Amino acid sequence: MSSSLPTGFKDLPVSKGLAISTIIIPLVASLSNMKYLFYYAYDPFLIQYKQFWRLFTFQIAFLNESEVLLGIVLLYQFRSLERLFGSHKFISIIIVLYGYIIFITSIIATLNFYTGLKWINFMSSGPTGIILGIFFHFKEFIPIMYKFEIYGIGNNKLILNDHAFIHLIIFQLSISQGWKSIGSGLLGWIIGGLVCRGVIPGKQWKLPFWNSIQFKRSNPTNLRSNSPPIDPQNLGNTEQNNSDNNNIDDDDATETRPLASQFLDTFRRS
Amino acid sequence: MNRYNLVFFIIFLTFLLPGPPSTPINSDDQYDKLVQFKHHLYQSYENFQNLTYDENWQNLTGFQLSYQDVSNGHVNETYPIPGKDYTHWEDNQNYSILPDEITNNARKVWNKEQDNEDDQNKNYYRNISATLYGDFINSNNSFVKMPITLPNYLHNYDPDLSSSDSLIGTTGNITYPYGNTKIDISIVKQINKKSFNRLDSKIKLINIDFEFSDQDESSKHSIETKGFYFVESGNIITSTSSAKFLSLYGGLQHLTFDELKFLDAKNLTLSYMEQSLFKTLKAKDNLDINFNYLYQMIQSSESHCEYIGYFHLNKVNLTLDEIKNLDEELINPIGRPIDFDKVPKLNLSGLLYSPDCAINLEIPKAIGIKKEIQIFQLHQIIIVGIILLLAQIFLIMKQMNQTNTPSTISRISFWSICLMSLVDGSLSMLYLLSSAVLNKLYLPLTVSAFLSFILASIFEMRYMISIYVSQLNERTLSLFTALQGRAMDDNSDEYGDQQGQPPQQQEQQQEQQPANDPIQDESQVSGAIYSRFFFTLIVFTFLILNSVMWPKHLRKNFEYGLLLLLNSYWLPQVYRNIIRGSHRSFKWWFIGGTTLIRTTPIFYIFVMKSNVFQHHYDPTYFAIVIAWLGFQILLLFLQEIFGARFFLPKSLLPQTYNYHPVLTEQDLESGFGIEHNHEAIDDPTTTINKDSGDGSCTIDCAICMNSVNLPVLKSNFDQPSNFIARRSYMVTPCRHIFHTQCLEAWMKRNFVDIDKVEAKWKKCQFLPGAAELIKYLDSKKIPFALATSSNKINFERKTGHLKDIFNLFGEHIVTGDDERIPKGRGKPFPDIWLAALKSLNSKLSTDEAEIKPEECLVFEDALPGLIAGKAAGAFVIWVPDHRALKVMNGEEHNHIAGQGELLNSLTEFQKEKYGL
Repeated sequence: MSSSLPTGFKDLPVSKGLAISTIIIPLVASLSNMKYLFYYAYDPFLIQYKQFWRLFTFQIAFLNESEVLLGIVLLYQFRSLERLFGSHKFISIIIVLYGYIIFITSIIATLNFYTGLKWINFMSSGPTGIILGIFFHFKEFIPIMYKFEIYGIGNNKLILNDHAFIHLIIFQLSISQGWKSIGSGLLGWIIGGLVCRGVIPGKQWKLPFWNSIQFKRSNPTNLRSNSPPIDPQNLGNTEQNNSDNNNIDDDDATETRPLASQFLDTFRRS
Repeated sequence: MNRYNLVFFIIFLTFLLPGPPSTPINSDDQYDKLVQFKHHLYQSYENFQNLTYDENWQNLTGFQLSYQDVSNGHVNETYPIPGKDYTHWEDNQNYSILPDEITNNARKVWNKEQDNEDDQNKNYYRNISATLYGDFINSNNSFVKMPITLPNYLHNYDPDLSSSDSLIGTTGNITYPYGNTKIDISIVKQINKKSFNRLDSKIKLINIDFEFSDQDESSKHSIETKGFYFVESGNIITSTSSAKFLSLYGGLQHLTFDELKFLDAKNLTLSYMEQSLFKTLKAKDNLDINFNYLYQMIQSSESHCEYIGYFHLNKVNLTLDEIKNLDEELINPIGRPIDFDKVPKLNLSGLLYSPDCAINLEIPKAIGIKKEIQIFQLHQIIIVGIILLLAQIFLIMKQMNQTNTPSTISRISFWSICLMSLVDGSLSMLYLLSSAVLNKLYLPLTVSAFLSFILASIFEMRYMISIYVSQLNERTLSLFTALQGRAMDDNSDEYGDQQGQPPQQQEQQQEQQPANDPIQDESQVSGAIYSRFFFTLIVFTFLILNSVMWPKHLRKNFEYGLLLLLNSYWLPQVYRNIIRGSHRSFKWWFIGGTTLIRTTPIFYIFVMKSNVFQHHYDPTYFAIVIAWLGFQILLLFLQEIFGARFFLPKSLLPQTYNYHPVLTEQDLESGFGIEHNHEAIDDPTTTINKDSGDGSCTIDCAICMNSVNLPVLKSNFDQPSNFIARRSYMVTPCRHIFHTQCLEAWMKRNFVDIDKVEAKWKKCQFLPGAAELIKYLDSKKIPFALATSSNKINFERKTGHLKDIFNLFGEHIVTGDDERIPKGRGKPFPDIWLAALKSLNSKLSTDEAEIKPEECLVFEDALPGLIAGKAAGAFVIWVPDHRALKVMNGEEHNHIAGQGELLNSLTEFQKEKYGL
């Protein structure tokens, strides 16, 4: 497989968050027996039970293990797209795709309501459509790194490239829920294409307030290593500032560490 | 309790626990009886197949005699009674085993709701698996006891099973007039891995387990029955069955009052028998019965009363669609808009009659929720429990990270954590046990068990071990000696005072001494604590499990006492604070969070009326628990403010050093605390407002270099208003003043674990060549001396184990804290070398000339020593550490500047070069 990036999710917060939530949400859902939150069907959920919130939830989580696994592998591959676009644009595209799929689903539901038909009753649970939409962007922007040939009997040979494996996983994901996932995969693919080519609006849209979210996310150790901004009013009062800093540290006596290392530190102590 | 005992205990337990039911000895005789029993059952089965409603069952075990026969005195006679009509059957006591009175009552029970049959909005439940609770009345009618005995060939099957004829102690022979009952209804869902009882069938095979107990629950009777539920009428008929009472082979079906019901019940029973009794074909020899089955059938015949029950389940306010939706949602949840809390409860009423014990029990009302909903509620509770566990793990993790220095950790009470750990550990055991019982909740229960296990045996155990290790070095201080007036803090002086102490106390110390002698390391401690802890845990868990079966009043008292005891987890900390004299231990967020997490479950079971555990409602007790916990926390809080021993009379324990004393003007004038900060007094910012009596003084905190504002009082009179203000500064025993925050943080950061350092010092050895050189100098009578910057005590510690060499120095050892060296004149000032030289000169005999500094050789490793030696005027042999050399980057020759020689090791030292 292509591996143009260093391993891991370093400095790729969106991919990291998505991958973690892809695991955590189904885990919590099955632990608390709440998987039904992520089902969608026009009949009975919308028409009978009036549960319109399902339009917003059905794309959030995969519900079976193989889809979770495939989803994570794909998200891991798509992180090169996040590096290319930047986190802000990457998450914006995902949100646009999410919105469009909800939009199309509700249009189908409205059609069903007015015509009394029941076509496309179900949608597959999980972000299959979104992943296919991102996959369109991936094919569009991430170049093929290498090709290789497999020789068969006689003169036959098969030429494959590094994207071939991703195609294979996409295929596996699309057929995992039968017609439901093929349908939503196709929908996601088409919407992804239309957005990417600029046929329908959304390509230029950016998630507002990104900077304020980003600020919270940033690593505190990075902030600390940079010299703090000097406030001219406080120039004469630096000593006071220092002591304040000291006091803050004294309260905790330890630097803020990520939860995982705190967890491990309880065993590391000698 | 070592680990061998633990292993022994576990093996012992495995023997104690019941194994699989013991198979009786299979003698030939027993085998013949089994064959006979098979034959018997098959005969009954064939008869049953051809039975119609009008026909009598004839020779069915347990049903041969009718009630009328017994009333007529045919007690000892067996089938057939001469002259009796065995071809017909009618529903009266001439043919039935039930007295007419019971039959009439049963009809009333069944026809209870016939008048509102047509209401579409009221229907009967299809799935009636539930646990119901209610009362029963033992209406003491004088019915005649019907003799029901085992078939003759089954007598003496197993000597263990034969019992006396008396009915005392017989299961089901209920003597008290009223009591509580618990009814457990479950629908037979599977037989031999094939599904049974379709959801929409009209009649269902059900198991009902009854448990009768008196008000105090001191005597309990459990009765297991099997029967039919008629979905369209909400009626239930059940009976026990055993080797002496083959009720399912036609007897019970005949008691349904109705030919249609008889046929339904018969067909259902036949299909049930086909699936459960026969292996493959319905051939005579294919009955799938083994010794165990026979054994159980006989066992349930002996010392058991047989029962027949008639019940009616009331309709609920749901349409058929709603009931169907509810059942499907409970089996396979897809999020239908159903509020499980508002699902109507099952309401059962009816009667039970025992033909052979002649007991008539009436159950006017028993109420319960559907089992699936109960499991759903339990699931929610477990999820909340998981969240609480995670929160507790997070808190303890934070708390452990806060107390990672020996000084902070030794303040924590071992027993506080131990109590918490005990609760969490037994929780994990209970979770694990119930995960084996409740299949449907296996996943969440296992997760809970895992989390509580992690919490108890990894985090809390780890914490306990650290606390234990950090407190190992303390001499065990009994409460008695503590009250005599000796705090932990004063221990360092104790050795010095030993002669002056009363002999009593000396003895005590001698006793205490050897107990601490074996130096325990962490692995030993953790092994000991783990085994002790798990032993306690196992015993405790078994005690809890056992207590569930105790009579009610005992159980209640046990529960109340135990809960109060387990909720005293801050009390050991209060005691620890007193003993150690420290006013701060756990962080406040830990105390608050832990208390909250641990009282939430108690709140749920005592204050929520409809809790899943069927625990009684008692808000008063909950208030007591809260008050008790609040009292403990209040004590901790007051200790933090007023000092650890504030509530004890001052004569009991000596006051610990007060770090926040009242500062008065006299103190200022006598230079209290400020003697090293003269500039502060001269500083114009020092303002003492003499007019108002009280003033303030500003000096610098040497740690943060900011000013400390000290409130200064005119007299020694303590004012409570200043109490909080005094918390902001600390005065050390050496009369230095700092910010409280600064000093505490400083102590935390710069804490040196003296034990570890000392252990390292004990392993100190000479550098190569040093010991040889000293011996050589000594043999040649060349005067030599030692000058070290270490203070006396540390020097002793470092060199105590190398006395044979260091004794060669005699008295010519000058340490850093020597009186001959003025303060602040240690290395790199030459004074220490000169003092050593003076010491040498003083011992020279009078005829020898005094040694001049220029004639001396100084052996040094450190740079300050080199500089000091040069300043003293001596020639320095410098043997620096190779790592130190690396840092100097070739500057080393500049440092020597011709007044010394650089060597890599003392072995390179050429004595001849210096004429030695």
